[in-house]
Amino acid sequence: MASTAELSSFQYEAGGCTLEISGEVSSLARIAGKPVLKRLRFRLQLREGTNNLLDARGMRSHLVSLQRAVEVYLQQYLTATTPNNLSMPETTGVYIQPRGLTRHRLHLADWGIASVPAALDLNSRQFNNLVQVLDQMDAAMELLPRQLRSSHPSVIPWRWAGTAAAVLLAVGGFGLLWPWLNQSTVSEAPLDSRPSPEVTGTIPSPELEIAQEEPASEMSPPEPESSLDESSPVAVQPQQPVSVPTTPPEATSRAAPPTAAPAPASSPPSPPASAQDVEAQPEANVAPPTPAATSPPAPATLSEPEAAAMRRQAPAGTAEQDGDQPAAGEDVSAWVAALESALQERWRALEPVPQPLEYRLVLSEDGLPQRLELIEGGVDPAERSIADLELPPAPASLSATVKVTVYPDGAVRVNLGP
Amino acid sequence: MESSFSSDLTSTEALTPRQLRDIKAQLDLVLLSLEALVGIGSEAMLAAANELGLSALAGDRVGLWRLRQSSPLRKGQGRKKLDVDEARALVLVSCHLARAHQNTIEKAVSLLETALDQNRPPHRTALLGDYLDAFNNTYEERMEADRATAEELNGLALKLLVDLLFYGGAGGERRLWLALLDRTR
Repeated sequence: MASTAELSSFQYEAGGCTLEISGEVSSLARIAGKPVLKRLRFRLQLREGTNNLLDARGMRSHLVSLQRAVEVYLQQYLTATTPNNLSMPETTGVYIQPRGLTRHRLHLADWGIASVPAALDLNSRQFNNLVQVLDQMDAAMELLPRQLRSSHPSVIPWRWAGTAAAVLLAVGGFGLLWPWLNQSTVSEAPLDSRPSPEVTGTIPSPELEIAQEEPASEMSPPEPESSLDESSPVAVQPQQPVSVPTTPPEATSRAAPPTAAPAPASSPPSPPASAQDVEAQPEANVAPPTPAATSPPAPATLSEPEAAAMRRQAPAGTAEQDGDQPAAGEDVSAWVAALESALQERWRALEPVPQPLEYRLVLSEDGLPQRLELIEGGVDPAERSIADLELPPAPASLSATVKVTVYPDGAVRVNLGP
Repeated sequence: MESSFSSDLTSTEALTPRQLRDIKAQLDLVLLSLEALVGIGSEAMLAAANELGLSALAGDRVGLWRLRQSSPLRKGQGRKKLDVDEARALVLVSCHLARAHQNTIEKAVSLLETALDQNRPPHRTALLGDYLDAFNNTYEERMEADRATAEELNGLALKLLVDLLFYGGAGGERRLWLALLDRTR
């Protein structure tokens, strides 16, 4: 069982701008010579006197998109030789436009953080403070682009679930039949015996996404303040040495480079909130991810009767021989990740939406995704049909409404809400 | 910061003569804006070069003069060729000085913003007026006569002033270098 993640926090300040970052320090820090953070959360505050201009909390993808926008804009600004040359076109995602010679408008509507204004005007000093904290962070640490592959898969993507389900059926069926096949030694094996965890654990899964803890929503603010406060003491000076926590053995066995994971649906370029940016919530009390054996696979390629039979046969908590109950949250997290992946890949081929659109996912009685109903955000220019998609049924433990948000750049976010 | 600037430099060592010429001109103007704003002279520049370990490139007044005189905008058509190492040295010196005088630069930029917000001519603010006068006078004194109007020179001076704010930051050297390169393309 993986050890509880140890969080580290960092803080960078310049003038009225403060950037707080918390996350797990990867063992790669020993090679990089500076902290390499994963499962990152940040809080960015811009103040002018007592006025709070901006208070944004988000994940790595949000921070990277802001950093990129600032860097691109600033370089273009500096390259322009006269004020008359400062006219920059609008783009998607976070972008910045000059407002005369000394002001800079941050367009944040597509940032994916609900608590920020759509646009924020900064004077040059304020903007420079923002530039400085981002520079300080950039110099002091590395941000791990995506979750590394694990040698111990914790989730079986739904595309492989068919294979997994077939094996389970075969083994489970064999187990059921064994007492009848071996009549000379009447087996005491219970009729509800389940395949050993090792069977599911060894099913190859090259398209692996470790959906350990999915963020519940990128539209809503992430973790409350306590998530940053509960972390280890803040290093106010960015250059202070960071204690790299001892990593568990399984973490050091992750050999894949950060960008090597061929996710089923890779992140779109410059997403405002990357649906593939799988990052854990940096809570000190987060349950460590358990191996794949604890999660019954989602039989995406089975027929409905088979899928229903699987769910009846393998309710949550009974698949483990060691008696550990798999967390219901992990089933849901895995399903959410699979759903996001499938929807994103489908909608990449469709006409992009003009603005973020939010849908409600309608499930059948068996928990199979049926259709998406537009909740708000205007008229959907294209039919968002999902009837032909082979989507996994929702876990039995799912009790929340499933909402799907589609962004103009093709990113898809599945949220669980009331 | 230094390592990223160095890596940027490594990839751009093969600069054409025209690019180097443009870079010289731009760097001279950046230093001119610093001179005009904070009144620094060659002594301060030499001190900065020494602090940065660049004495071999700009270790004395004569050497520094030659470097700056290499600007194609200068009277006398500076014959000194500026190589990449020397351009790099001037970038480092410029950003070092901008960093050292960041408070003054911030103050000037804030005053500029206020003046623009209130639709007042910047030169009516004391610090900005002095800056613009010094910039214009020094420019006319040193540069070949060109047809730049006072308004164009003021625009250039104010743009350089705001740029100094960013050059004095942590990534200033890299940004200045990239801006120099981008402008030559």
